[in-house]
Amino acid sequence: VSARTQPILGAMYVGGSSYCAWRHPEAGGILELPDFVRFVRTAETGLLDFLFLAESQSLGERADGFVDENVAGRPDALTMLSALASVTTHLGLVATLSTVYHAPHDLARRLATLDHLSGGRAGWNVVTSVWSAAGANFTRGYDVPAEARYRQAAEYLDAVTRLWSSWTDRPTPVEVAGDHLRFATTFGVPHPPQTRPVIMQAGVSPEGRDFAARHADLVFAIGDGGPTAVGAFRADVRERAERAGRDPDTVAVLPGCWFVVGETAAAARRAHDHQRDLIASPHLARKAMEQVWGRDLTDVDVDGPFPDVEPDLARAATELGKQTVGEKDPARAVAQWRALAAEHGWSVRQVVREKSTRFAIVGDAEQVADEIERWLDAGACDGFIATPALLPGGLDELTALVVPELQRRGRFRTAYESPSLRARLEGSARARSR
Amino acid sequence: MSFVVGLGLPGVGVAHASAAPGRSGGAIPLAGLLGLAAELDGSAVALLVLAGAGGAPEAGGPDTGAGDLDPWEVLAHLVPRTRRVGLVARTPAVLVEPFHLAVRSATLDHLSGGRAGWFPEPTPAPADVAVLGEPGSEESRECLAAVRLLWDSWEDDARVRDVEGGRYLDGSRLHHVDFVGRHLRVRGPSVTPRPPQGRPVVFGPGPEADVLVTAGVAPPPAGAVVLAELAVTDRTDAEIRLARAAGCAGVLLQVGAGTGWADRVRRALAAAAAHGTAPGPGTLRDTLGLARPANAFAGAR
Repeated sequence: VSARTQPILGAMYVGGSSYCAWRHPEAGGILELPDFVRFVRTAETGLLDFLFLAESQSLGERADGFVDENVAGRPDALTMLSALASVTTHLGLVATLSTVYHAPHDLARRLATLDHLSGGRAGWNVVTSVWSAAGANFTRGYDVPAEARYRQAAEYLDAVTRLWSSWTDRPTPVEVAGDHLRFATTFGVPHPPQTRPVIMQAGVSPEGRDFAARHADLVFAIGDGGPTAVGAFRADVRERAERAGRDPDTVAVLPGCWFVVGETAAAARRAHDHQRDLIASPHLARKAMEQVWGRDLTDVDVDGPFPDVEPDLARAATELGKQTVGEKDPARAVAQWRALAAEHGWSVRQVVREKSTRFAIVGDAEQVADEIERWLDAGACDGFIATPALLPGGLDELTALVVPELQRRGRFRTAYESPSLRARLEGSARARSR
Repeated sequence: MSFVVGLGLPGVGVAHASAAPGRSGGAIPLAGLLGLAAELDGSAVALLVLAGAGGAPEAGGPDTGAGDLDPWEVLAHLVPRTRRVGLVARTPAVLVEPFHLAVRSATLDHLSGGRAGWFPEPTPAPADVAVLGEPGSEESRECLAAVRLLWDSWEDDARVRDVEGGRYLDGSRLHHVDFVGRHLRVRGPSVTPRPPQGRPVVFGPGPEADVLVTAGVAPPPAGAVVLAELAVTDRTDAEIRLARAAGCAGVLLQVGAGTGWADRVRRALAAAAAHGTAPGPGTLRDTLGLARPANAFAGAR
């Protein structure tokens, strides 16, 4: 097993998810610049590798109205990252951008601009889009058939890469004539400092894994399966990379992880419990159960005994299918919920509290550092993307307590090696393979 | 009476030894603009209008930049480096979808605490990068109408953050805009809440703009807020006096690209010091004497 000694550490600022403790008394906003500045300064003090922002091109909506229990109302990612480039010097700035909803030359120009503004710190989390509620927000509609999405994305990434590489001492015209994209242009921005901003990807399907193995520098993984499952995923991606002719050490697999760190293990557990309670509000619990059951449950007492109500599986299937994470088969989801309720004697809210929070590492600094080492040494991952539920303060303990502990063990940098994100990642890949 | 002096800059590029022919009118180098930011903010310049056509770049030279960086991002980059100056992007209206334009401009307004503006160029984007087919002024008008509706698609108080009830949003204060024009359509709502100014300030040569920009000094139509667009020349001082006498709210001084841009910026700053009113701590609308617009959807519930 190829194991890395030092983790790559990114941090996500959530922008529209159930996975946010916005009801916490210390919670800030998901749009306000001072909150983001506080977050990135903490990340940079802790020598973290990058900030990561997601995107959405529509608001969540159900038959009975807009989703109202989750945070929503995010900034445009590249506009926000361009502002943050002014208050940081080393932190990578990674934006999620769909290959479906952005014109390729516009996306290429905007990422190249961020790379110039930041001196080589831009990254792109390449996502394909299939669920088409967002399509109604665009004149062109942008429908890509599900089965063609990774072929379209590969063509798109190739076109964007060619635009970025089209300047030497002057721009060379680029003509793209593919199955999905056709245009000819002279690109307006000299080649970005990184030439190719760092590419991240989060595919799970075989096609998605192949895409990551061929093109990605970073792979955002789901941590829920623990080190065994994530390690198997990593081994598979590495094998595919090798088959595609790449050095597998240049593809880093990074599971998302909610680090909850305390001065003591008990304090960490209390903070984790408190934030989970806040996330699973009664309103959110009811809405989550309505989604899985496919029916209105206004009369259910979410804090009482788990109700004996039959689901409408056909209706639930259409709702669950829109999820990017979680069980998509409603019959299985219902069975899982009922089993949890029966086993522990839980209410709806207690089940939701369990189901709606994701992979977490909880403990004092030594325990969390131990766990990070365990994952790395098992070859389960190359690092993590911290996904704090409490914003903007949720990185404070990770950087103040865990990073120094890792440094004491020789398991994390003590200074930034390079201001360029790509140079830093390539440097760490070389250091590992020695 | 207050008098507004705006500074118009061509595209921003990066230092590069290029000799390529181009059409975007040239660029000033990013490093030059960043060096200017602090000085600009302490000056009497009320707003910065930054162009960026999205097309192929003009020739670079010893003291000029090559290329054409995205103006929304460059202006966002200036936000933490400035406090009061208005930040206005001058872009072809049809370069990207109205949805993207609404989100980017609203974000700049949120980040800057209400200093954002948009100058949609009725002139077409370069054909090879236009996203929305045949460009034209009707399409520009549709785009502006759609963007304004998207800015309004969140009512000001839509983020209720009801901790007890578990509701972050009040869904009844979010609205589909369902804009369907001859060229453009968008359902909405936006993904970004209503900007602090309600709507960022729209500049342009036509009556649909909040601030009318005229080429040279012309008598303002009744009730209009007019900026006279002037090139920085030896005659600038005299022209500013004419604009003031004609009843213009201010001037937009175009620096132009190419060698000597830094010197022309100096002269524009001197003209601002002589004639302009320094912007206060409020929004760009406050600086320009424009009221915060009512929301088109408020009361639609």
